[in-house]
Amino acid sequence: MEQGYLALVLHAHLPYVRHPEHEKFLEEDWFYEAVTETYIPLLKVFEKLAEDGVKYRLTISLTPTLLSMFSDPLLQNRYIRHLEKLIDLAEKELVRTRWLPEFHELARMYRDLFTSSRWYFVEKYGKNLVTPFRRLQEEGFLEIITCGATHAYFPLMLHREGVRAQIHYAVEYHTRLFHRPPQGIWLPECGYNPGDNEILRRYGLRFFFTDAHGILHASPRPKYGVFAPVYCPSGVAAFGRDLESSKQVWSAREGYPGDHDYREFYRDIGFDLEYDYIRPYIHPNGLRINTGIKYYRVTGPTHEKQPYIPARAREKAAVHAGNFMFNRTKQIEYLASILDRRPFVVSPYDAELFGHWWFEGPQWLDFLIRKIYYDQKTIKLITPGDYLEIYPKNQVCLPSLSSWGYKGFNEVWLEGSNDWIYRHLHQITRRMIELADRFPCASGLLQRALNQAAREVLLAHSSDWAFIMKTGTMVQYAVKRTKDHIGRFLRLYDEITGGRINEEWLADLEEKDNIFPELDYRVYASHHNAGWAENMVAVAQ
Amino acid sequence: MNPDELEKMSKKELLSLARERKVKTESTMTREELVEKLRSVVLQNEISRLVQEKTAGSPEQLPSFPAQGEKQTITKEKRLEQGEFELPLSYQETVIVLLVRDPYWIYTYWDFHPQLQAELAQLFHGWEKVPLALRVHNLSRAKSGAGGPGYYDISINHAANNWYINVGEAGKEYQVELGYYDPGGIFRVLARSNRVTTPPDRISDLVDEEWMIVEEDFRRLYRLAGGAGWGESSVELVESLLKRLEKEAGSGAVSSISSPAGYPPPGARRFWLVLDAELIVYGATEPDALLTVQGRPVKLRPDGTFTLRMALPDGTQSIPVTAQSADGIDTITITTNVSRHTHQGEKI
Repeated sequence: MEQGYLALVLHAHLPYVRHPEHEKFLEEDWFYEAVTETYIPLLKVFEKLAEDGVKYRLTISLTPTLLSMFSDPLLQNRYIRHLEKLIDLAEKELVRTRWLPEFHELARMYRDLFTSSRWYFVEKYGKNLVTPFRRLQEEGFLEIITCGATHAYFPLMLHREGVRAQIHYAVEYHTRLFHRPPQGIWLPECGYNPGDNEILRRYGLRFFFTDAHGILHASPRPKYGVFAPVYCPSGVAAFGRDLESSKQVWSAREGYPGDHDYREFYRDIGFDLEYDYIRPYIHPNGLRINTGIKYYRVTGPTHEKQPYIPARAREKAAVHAGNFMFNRTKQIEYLASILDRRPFVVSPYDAELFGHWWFEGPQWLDFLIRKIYYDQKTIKLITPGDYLEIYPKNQVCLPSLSSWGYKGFNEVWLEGSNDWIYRHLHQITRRMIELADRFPCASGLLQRALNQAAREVLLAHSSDWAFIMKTGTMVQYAVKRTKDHIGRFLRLYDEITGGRINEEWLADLEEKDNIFPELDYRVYASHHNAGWAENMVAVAQ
Repeated sequence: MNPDELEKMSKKELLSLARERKVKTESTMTREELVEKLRSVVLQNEISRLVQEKTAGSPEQLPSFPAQGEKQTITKEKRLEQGEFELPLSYQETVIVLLVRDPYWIYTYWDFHPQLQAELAQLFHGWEKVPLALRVHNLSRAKSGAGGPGYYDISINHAANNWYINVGEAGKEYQVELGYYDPGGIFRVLARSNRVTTPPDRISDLVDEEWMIVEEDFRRLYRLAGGAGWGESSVELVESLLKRLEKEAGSGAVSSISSPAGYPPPGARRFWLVLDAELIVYGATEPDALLTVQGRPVKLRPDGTFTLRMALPDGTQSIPVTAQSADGIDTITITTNVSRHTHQGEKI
C-alpha cells in the first residue's frame, strides 16, 4: 500500500496569436515551436507509456486559447508550412555538416524529429492535436482541466461578471471539444481571488490550485498545510503547490534544466550561421530568430559551448528522474510519519518547460513515470479528482489571495509598466455588461456585433500582455494587442449604441479575432443565469 | 492645442515644444515616447484653458473634453482599420477604483468628469489650485473599534491619475475616497472606490479547535512547504530565461557552429573576433545524369547544375564528384582536394 500521493500538473497555455492579415507573423512562431518542441513530444511520451502498459495519472490544463489554436485551420496549415521549411533546413544541414561528425549526427536527429512531427501531425492526427489529448483522457491516463477563457488574471478584474464570462466560455468550449465538462480548473497564473470559488462551483468545477501560501495563509489555519486540499465554504476544493518539488525542476540556479549535459537553448543556428545561408529560414525582414536547431550543450558558465551529446543528456534525464523520485519518496515517508492521513504532494509546471525550454523535459517525465510505476511502492501518481474520491472529507478554510508570480501576489501584473491597462480593461468590461443588459435578445447584425464585442473584451484580458510588458521583451506587440482589442471594443460600442454598425469592418474583425465562434454575448448580462448543468450536457452531446 | 495634434508633429517640433513647456526629455527618446510624455502636459493646459474661457464668460459653453476615442472612430469608419488605436485618456466620468498589489500595497486610479473638473477649477481659480486628496480608510480598523481615526489623507498631484499606496498592514479591508478640501477645510468626497482586502502575510491566527494540529508540527509543515520564502516561481524562471535571451541576442549573436576559432573570453574586454570558413562545391552536367559527391547522390537542378555548401574544418578533405550518364554508359569522376589550416594569433 502506498504511503502518499503525487500529482504532476502541467499547465499548457499560449495566448491567442493568429494574424491572417500577415503572410508571416513572428509571434505565431510561439505556437509552432511549442507544437514541435513540447506538445508533440509530450503526446508521444504519453502514448508510448500507455502502449507499454504503464499505468499513470497526469493532470494537464489546456487553455481555451491554446485549444482554439490547435483547432484553427489557418494555424494548422501554417504550422505544416513552418515544419516543411524546418525539414528543408535540416536537410541542408546534413550536407553542410558532413565533415563534422558530432554535428552531423545532431543534424540527422533534427531532420528525423521534424519529419516524424510532420507525420504525427498530418497523417496520424489529421492536423488536430485535440484528438490525441481527448483519447488519452478517455483511456484514463490524463485528467484534462480548463483555465480562464483567455487566461485573464482574475485578482485584478473589477467585475465578477467578467470572471464569470472567463469561466463560462472556458467550460463551454472545453466541454464541446472533450465531450465532457472539466472537473477542475487551473486559475490563470494560479491567481486566486477570494470569493471566485463561488463562481467555480456554479460551473460544476470541483477543484482549483493555489500557490503554497494561498493555502498556508488560509483561515482558519489548515491542519495539513499544503499536503491535503481544503474546501472553500462553497465546497470547491483548493490544492496548494508544493514548493520543494517545484524548485527542483524550476529553479534557474539549482534546477535540473541547467545541467551541463543538457541542450543549450540559446545557441541556435538562426543566430550562429552565416547570414546568406540562414536567411531563407529566419524572419522575412532579415531579423535573425531561433530556428529550433541547436547543436550545443549547456557546458557551464562559459561562452565556449561544447557540442550536444544526446545519449549523455538522456542518461542525465534518467538520473534526474531517479533523484526526483527519491526526494519525493523521502518527502512522503516523512510527511506520512507526522500526518494522520496519506499526504498529497502537488507539483505543477508550465507545460512549455518540457521540451521548449528544457529539451530533455519530456524524456525526464517519461523516466519518472516509468520509475514510479515499476521501481517503488511508496508513492502513487493520482489526480486531484482521484484524491477527492479517496478523501472526500476535508477541512473547510478560506484560501488567501495569491498567485505563482514573483513575490506571490499581483505585482507582476500590476506595476509601472502595465498598470495603465486596468482603467481600460475595467471600462470595457463595464460597458460590455451594460450592452448585454441593454440588448437581452439581439439578432442579426446587432447580435454579431455584440458577440464580437465580447470576443474583443476577452482577448484584451489575456494576462500574457501585462506579463510581457513587465518582462520587457516583445513589449510593442503586447501593447499593440492590448490597444487593438480595447480600441476595437470601444469602436464597436460606439457603433452598437449609435445604431450604425459597419458590417464590412465587423466581418473583418470576425475573421481576425475569430476565437470562440459559438460564443453568446449574453453571458455578460448582470443577471445572467447560466443553468450551466443543462447547457453543458447539451454541449457535450 | 489639442493632444491629438501632437501626433502630427515631427520629432523636432516635439522637442521644441517640450523645451517650451519645460518638460524633461532624453536624447534617446523616440518620437512616440515624446508624444506620450507631452500628452498629459498638453491636456493639462487644455483643461486650464477651457476653464479660463468658462470663467471669462459664456457660461452656456461648457468645456467639452477632447473625445479622442470617438473622434478617431468616426474618421476611421470609412477605411476599416489603419495604424494603431490610441486609447482615450479619460472616459469622462468621476470614478476611483482600488486594486490590491500585495499585503502592503494597494493601487488606485481615478478619473474626473470634465464638467466637474471645470467647476472645481472655477471654484478655486485654476485646476492646479484645487486641493485634491485621497482619503484612505482602513475599514478593518474602524470595525475593530481601535482608537484614532480609521483613515488618513494623501494629497495628490494634479497631473497624476493613479497612485500606489503603502498601507503597511496586511489582511485588512480598505476603501479610498477621491475628494478635495473646501475653503472651510472640510473634505468633500467626489467618488468612493470599491472595497478591497489585502491578503495576509502569515499563517492565520484563527485555529479551528476540532482540527487543531500542534503548533510545532505546523511550523515544521510550513517550513517543509517552503513557507520560509517563495520567489522561485515559474514566472521568475521564464523571466530569467527571457533576460538571458535579450542579453545574448544583443551580444554573442555572431558566432559560428563549426570549428570556432575564437570566442570572447568571459569578463575580458569586449573586443573579439570569430572566424570560420565554409566550402561551396558547384558544377554542372547533363540534367538527367546521376551525380554523386563523396559517394552520396546529389539532386541536380532542372538545368543540370548543382551546388553544395559544407562546413570546412581544419585538415584536408578529398571530394570525388562522379557523374554517370542516364543510360549508364559514361562515367566521369573529378576529385578535388581542399585543405584548411587555421592559425590563431595572439591578441595584441
